[in-house]
Amino acid sequence: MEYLAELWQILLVVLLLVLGYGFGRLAERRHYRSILRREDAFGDLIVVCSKTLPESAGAPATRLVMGSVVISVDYFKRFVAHLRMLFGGRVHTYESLLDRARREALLRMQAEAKALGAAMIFNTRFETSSISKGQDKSVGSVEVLAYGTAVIP
Amino acid sequence: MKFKNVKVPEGINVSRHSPLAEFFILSGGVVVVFGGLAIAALLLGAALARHMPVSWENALAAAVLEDAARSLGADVDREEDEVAAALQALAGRIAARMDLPEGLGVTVHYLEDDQVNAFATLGGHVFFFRGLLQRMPDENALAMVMAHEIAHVANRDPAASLGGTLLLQLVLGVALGSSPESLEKLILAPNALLLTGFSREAERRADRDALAAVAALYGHAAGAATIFEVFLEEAARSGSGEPPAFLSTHPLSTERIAGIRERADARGWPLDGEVTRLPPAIAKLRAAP
Amino acid sequence: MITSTLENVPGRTITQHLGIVQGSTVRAKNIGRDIAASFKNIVGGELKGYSELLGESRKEAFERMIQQAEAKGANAVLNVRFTTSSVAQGASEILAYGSAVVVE
Repeated sequence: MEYLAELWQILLVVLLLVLGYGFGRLAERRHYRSILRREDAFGDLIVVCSKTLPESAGAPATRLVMGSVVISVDYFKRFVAHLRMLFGGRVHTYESLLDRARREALLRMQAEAKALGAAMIFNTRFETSSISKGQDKSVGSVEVLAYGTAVIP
Repeated sequence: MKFKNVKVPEGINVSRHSPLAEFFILSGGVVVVFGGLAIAALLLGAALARHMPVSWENALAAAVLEDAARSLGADVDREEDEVAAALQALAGRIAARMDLPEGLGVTVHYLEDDQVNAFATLGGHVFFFRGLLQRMPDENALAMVMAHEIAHVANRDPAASLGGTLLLQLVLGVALGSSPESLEKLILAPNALLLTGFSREAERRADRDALAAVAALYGHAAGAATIFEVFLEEAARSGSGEPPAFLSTHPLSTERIAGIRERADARGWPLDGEVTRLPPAIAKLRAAP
Repeated sequence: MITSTLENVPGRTITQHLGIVQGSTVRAKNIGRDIAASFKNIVGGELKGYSELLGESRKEAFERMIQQAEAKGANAVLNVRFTTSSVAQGASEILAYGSAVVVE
């Protein structure tokens, strides 16, 4: 009855898919709610990519601030992404992963700046890199770093 | 210049889509594409292998089976020799009634094991297990099994299945090279069912050819269904029964018995007749514990 | 929509900064391009399939960034930068970001 072993492995994959889908959606919704809440809270902290300070700023103190986060995507989304990679095209399931990671990194940078008493962050830059898991030949986690110069009046 | 923080609307970098819908659409596409690819690979590989020159098949068989035979039949004693010779003689009589390709001869081997089984591989090598021989009541039943295996050799089924699975593995390996294991499993599972489907078709064909040969040899088809009745008994005895048809490489024994009866009726071969006794060397095995 | 990697638009003044805008896409190559690339790896030379793929992705990311800027009410995006990273074996993400401003 060797086919039973194969059947069991397939059932395991299906189970993981279901778990991934359910819990993944939950985690993502919760994260987005938290992100939206904090973005509202940090509404007054200006973040720009420009390097030129306005003349009105004078000679303020500046500090390098950064925020980084590593987020992993759930089993279901990863599986769908791999299906997509067979055919090519836009990988929808990873779009939300990167969006969340970027916004989270930005928020953490803003938090650090706010803790220093800054009101603006200049010359913001992003760095994205993938974290390899090694097993299963699939990479599902991404690290985003946001860094800039906080201007403390 | 003034500085303002303006909120960006959602949905620009994250397109609105349903991952569940995408999952089903892509899975469907994968099943269709890879299923089609698999069928094409199996058919092409089998066809190519069937047209492989007999000399190649014999050379391949010699290389592979020499080691296997050496490890299986290390000490060949006199009793085994007699059994093998009796089987070879029967094979000769049956092969004369079948259409073997030029250069492909049948070599019968006898294995001392209680398995109720017999199989054919490359180069016309056929293996019989003691367990099966002990369950044969008469020569007609044994002849049906022998004819079935020789039919596989005549149809070049061992080579075809080798060629088909090789090409399939090659194609799927290239296509799925960088995909994770879980994906490979879900794609290979339905393809495994394809393989068993093709195998069952080959078995049915061998059954048909064997029945014709046995009817030609004895003038009737008595004892042709015996081996399948034995299989049913074995399955009932082990308690688990036969695996479902779609998962199995062989059709259900009940289907095969029915098939024999139908065909014998259609061709006008009587299912009753005087059965021939087993050759003495093989009959001796039944007496042994 | 003016886009530039400069700090400002020469000859014009920035009246308002509206914050960061970002545009990103994740695209995957398909097996066909993959197999062609494997062959090209033996011979060497430009991997046209991949070049096209990444070119399209970059264009799309850029357009998404401009979409965000328009939604904010900007008419120029300054200090534009691109980053590329591979998020999975076979898929890469392209991010385009810059400052959305109103220039006069």
